[in-house]
Amino acid sequence: MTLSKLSLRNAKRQAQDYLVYFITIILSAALIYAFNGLVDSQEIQRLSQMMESLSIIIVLATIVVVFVIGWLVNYTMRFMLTKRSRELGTYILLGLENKQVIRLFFMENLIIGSLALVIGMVLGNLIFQYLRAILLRMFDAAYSFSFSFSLNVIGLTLIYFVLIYLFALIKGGNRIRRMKIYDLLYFDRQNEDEAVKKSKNRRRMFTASIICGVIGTLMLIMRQLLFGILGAVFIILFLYGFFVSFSSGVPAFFNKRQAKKYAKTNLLVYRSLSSKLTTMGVTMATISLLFTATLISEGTGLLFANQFKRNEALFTSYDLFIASSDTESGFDVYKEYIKDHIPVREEYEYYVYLGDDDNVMGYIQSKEADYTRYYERDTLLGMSDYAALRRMLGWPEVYLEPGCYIVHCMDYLEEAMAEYKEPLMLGGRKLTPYGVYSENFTQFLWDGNGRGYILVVADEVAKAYEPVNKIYAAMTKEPVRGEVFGGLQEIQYAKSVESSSYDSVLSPAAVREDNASLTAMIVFPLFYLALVLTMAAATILTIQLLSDVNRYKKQYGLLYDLGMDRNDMRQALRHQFALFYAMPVLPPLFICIVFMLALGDAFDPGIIVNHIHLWGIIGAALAIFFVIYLIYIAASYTSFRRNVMPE
Amino acid sequence: MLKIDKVEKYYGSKNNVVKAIDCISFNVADSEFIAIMGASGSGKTTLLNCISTIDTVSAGSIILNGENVTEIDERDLARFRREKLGFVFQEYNLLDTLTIEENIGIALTINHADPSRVKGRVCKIAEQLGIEDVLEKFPYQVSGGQKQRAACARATINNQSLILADEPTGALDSKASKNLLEIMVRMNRDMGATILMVTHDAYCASYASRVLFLKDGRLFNELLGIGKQRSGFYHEILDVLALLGGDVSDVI
Repeated sequence: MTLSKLSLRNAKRQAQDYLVYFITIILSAALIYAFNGLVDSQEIQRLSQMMESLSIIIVLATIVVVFVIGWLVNYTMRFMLTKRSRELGTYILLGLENKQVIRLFFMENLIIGSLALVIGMVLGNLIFQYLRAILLRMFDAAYSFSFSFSLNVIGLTLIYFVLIYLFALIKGGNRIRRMKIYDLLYFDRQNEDEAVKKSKNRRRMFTASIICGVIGTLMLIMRQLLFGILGAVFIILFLYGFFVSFSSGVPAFFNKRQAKKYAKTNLLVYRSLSSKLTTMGVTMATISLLFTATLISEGTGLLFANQFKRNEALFTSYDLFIASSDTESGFDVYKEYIKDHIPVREEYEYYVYLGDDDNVMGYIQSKEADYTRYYERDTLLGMSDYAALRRMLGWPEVYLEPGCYIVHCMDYLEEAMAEYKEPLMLGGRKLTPYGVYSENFTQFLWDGNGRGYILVVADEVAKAYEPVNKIYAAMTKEPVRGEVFGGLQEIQYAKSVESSSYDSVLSPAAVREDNASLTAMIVFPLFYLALVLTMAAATILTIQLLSDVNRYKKQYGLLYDLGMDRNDMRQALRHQFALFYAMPVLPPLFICIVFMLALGDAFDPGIIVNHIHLWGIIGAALAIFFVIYLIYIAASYTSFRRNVMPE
Repeated sequence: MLKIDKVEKYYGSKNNVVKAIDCISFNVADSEFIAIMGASGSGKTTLLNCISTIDTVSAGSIILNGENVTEIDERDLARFRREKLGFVFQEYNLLDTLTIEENIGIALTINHADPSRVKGRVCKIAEQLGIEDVLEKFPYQVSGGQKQRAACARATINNQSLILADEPTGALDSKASKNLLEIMVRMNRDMGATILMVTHDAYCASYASRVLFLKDGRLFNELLGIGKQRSGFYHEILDVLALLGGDVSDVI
């Protein structure tokens, strides 16, 4: 049997042992291929000018991915080396040179890696098609399925993979080169000691790490770059300190509580956890760190995705919106351009007025601390304008009782405004509240129909006041976007240069395009990173556990002989399993939820409607993570239980 | 207390039946220390496994304290083992993630004993077996003899009726072996433990009060050691072994 045949056979056998690892490498290759496909695609690049930056962001994300996957590959190889050190030692004992053994090891991993790469690239092409479809839909562009392999992308993916494997193999090879036969043959006999021994130090370290965690989390939510970086450092200190000292701290905890220790299956569960943490505290901390990064990426990604989606709806409810702080001159220049370029279905011009006082605004500020005022006084709209606009937008008609006023506000203010029962004093007249409406009414930006809210009053009341904004609203036959919209923006720019007034030009289609680009640039890479990090970390946890199958099998075999109840054994196994997978997730879960609550607060009011909305987004972020995580857990649990439980 | 009646155990298929145990019968009285001797393949470990319910018999019955072991329902076997039997294996079989104290205490936990009293009971028995100093240590930190004594403690802590020991000194040096055997004698004499020990070492067997010899699955001979000097008993055993033949190198 030649060496190459031997390594081919070994590779086959290894692939079976490390199925989870193999699948993760395939999926990573697929994701690398798919996202780099976006960088290379001319079609995607042409969608918007902003998409040029996408390339840079994807490449940066890929560098992180290469490091993480490199770590995974290196870690797994080290594992294989430990598990198979006796076999490799035997080769050397039989007279193979270290160099030949390294080549053997190298060949095996190369075969596994190449196979995963090829499958991954085919799969990656499908994922790329999916991403392409999403993007094209976001930009309202036509999508047609086309299965094509780009040589550039294949080359790029290949380069990344060569880097990953080179890094891992050099480290693995060095290890074999330095090892003596004795070390290889008896590698698995080495015992590992507790990393931190003295109980005093351990307690100090544990306390210090918790303090670091609290400080770090607080700094992360300060929303300042410097604090953010410092906060990340503290979080890293926390995780490593926590996991290294925790493993030594558990026995101390239970030694003080003898009754708890010997109750039910606690003893088996906590001992297996602490022995696991003793040997892999640092790894556990790294995994926890990856999970923190993952959850924060996913959370941030979803929050931004929500913002972009809300922006689209909130910016303007008309197909075309032009506002000007110059209430004297009309929109003649714009209208001329519109007449030539945009088929208009309906259009309307009106004024927004400022009232006498800021009573309503004061009330809103007392209810919503985040509300920032733009005007000095409450904004008013005439009833006939309001009715015409409602008609134009296709909303049901509303009626205004004489001597009353209507509030039209954004949805997040609806509850507060419904509770507002104060009368309005306008021009010596007393108006009582009549109703609250919260359809989406161009109230998010400062120069729309009021900022967040507007008070609708009888025409003669409104017209007695000074107009603050003039608005042109139109519904068009087709969306206003691209070059046509660009023309309007040019007019706006020219006007702002020559006069002191300020105009706004908005169209939902244009907002949608901007948001699509931003989504592609921010949300896509975040999810790319999150997916790879989750998979890599879950794989390492799974490999760790599956590598212990024989030890657990022996343990449970003995417990069976000693007469332990089958149900007790099953329960112990389940608890051991649950705790093992829960440990590295709990700290990130806490950090991420605090972080997301703080970040959700940082958006402009109205982007997040209420707490239910925010928790919904947090829930979605966690769900994405846990779906992937649970797949790994389920896979390893089934295989583990089958192998460990005695017949 | 233990009655082995015409126990048989076959292995293999229809065409090729191997009789591991061939119609063995004997009785064990309360507080007896019995050694079962025989060469490799004589069926002694199979017999032990059948008594311990880890293996099933092909025919015959095993009655422990009036309960027929061979008829116990599959679901109740675990309960039977943890309540009635104590095990001492050649390879210690301690859980390496647990300390010595916990390894002994787990026998009580498995029996759903009151958790708050576990430590006290462990300390008491550890003192009797002379391992109170190593309770805090892990199995890999203590000597083989100490590990085996911990296994003995685990086998008796729940007042199990019968202690089954399979080559308990197999992995120990001569000094530790002697020490362990003395402890087993003490457990038998002072604590009233009934011990059934499988061994192929004549020196080891000479500590028992009765020695049964197996050959090719059958009971070959029996020696009583009561009232005899150990060295004399030892030589008697050697004589029987010489008659028995088999792998002599194992014996001396």
